[in-house]
Amino acid sequence: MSNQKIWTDAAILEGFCGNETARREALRALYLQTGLREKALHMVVSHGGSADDGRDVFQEAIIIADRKLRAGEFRGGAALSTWILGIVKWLWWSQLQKNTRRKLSPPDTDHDLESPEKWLLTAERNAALDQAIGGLGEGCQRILKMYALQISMRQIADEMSLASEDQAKSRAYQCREKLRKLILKNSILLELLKPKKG
Amino acid sequence: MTEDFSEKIDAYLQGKLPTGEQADFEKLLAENPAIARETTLRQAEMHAIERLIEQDLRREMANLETEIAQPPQKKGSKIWLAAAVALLVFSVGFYFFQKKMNPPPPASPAEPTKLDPSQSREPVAETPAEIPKNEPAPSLPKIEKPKNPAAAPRKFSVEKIAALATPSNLQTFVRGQQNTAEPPDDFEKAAEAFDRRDFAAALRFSENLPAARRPETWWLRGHVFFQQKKYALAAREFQQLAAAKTDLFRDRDEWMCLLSLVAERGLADSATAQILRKIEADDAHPFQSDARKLREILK
Repeated sequence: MSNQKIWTDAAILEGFCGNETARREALRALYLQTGLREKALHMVVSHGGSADDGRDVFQEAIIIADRKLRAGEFRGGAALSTWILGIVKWLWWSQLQKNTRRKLSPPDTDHDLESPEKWLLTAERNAALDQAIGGLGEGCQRILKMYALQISMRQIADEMSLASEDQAKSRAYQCREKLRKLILKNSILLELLKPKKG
Repeated sequence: MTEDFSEKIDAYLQGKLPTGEQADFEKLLAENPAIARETTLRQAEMHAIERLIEQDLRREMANLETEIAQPPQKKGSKIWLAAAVALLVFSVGFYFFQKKMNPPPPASPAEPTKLDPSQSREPVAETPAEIPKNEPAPSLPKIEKPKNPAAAPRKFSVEKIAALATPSNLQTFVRGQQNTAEPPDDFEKAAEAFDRRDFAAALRFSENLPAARRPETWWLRGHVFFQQKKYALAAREFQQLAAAKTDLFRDRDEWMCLLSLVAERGLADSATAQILRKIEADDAHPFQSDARKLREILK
């Protein structure tokens, strides 16, 4: 009997909200087994984009979808692939809108039509963030990622070969402090993120 | 800062505070610089970690795209390939063995030997300087030479192409990130080695850099290989960098990748030609005019 996992929407959702291995497997399934990538490329190409545009937009859509899935914004009203295609439409529409003076009619999607910048940081911020996280070691980066993905301290301890949950907790705290120091040293980043008055 | 208040900051940043509480919190932010500072710091922290998660996703997706572009070879085709290589090696060996055991009679330049069809099917040269058309090539490299556009003689100047390369900017990165109180880390050592053109040391120092340094590592190694004229390896490093889409090297990664591909094999494949066309047509691309110069060189 075959042991191949059946990737239902629920399984993919669970994967994206799981640990590193589960996330990798779910992404792989979403990318290669659902036909979603091909649909996204077709959608962009049939609306005036190139295949490269299609690939770029699809990847940005996956990044947004990942954030939204982890934030609990997918409620299962539509199939996951339809929901992600909605993000692709929304992103491509925003990109077209930026490059034209006339007003384009918005796509029919369930997603809020705020600027994609709510979900994707600007290039300037990313550059400043890259500089800050560049100062962290690989171990700290991994532990902070797992912490953000809400992986239990027990599992973090196992993954990082630490003796106990307490040790994992203390290591996560030290890494967080290190990141905060790196951010504080980065005046450009702090300026870019300062809350705007009014 | 109490744990409760930290949770409130997180809830505010995630847009999870009820409307009334959100307005109160914003008022507090305007009045209390310490809270505003802590909120900004927490937001930066959250963005930084999200950025790490995003980089992982981008790396995975770049790998998946490569997999889609180059599907893994089937086991059967590997066996056939091995058999073909074995047959080729055997044929070459057999040819030389035959030649050694039965050397052809020396032809006299003064009296050309007439061909006796009963002795050999191969035509005999009229003079020793002429190579018979059907005679196998005289040396191994010539027999094994692949029919591949990359191996064809270049009709353009690689030096002229190399002159269009971006400066590495490695020292800028080092200066931007260096904390003079701390001893230089491996990346800084690699960058210094690169700048003094000690490429072997630059590669050595770049081998075990942390994952967060990957973009800089690709950039550095790409330039090292480019300087060493190992253009295929350079293209691979720049391709990985471009796939990671880091803003630090935006557009420059694409440009260096194009130069490496062109230096390696000209415009032999359509993907390279497509990148060049794209940059030429993009008015906002910082390398548009260089792309046009490159086109001129390739003409």
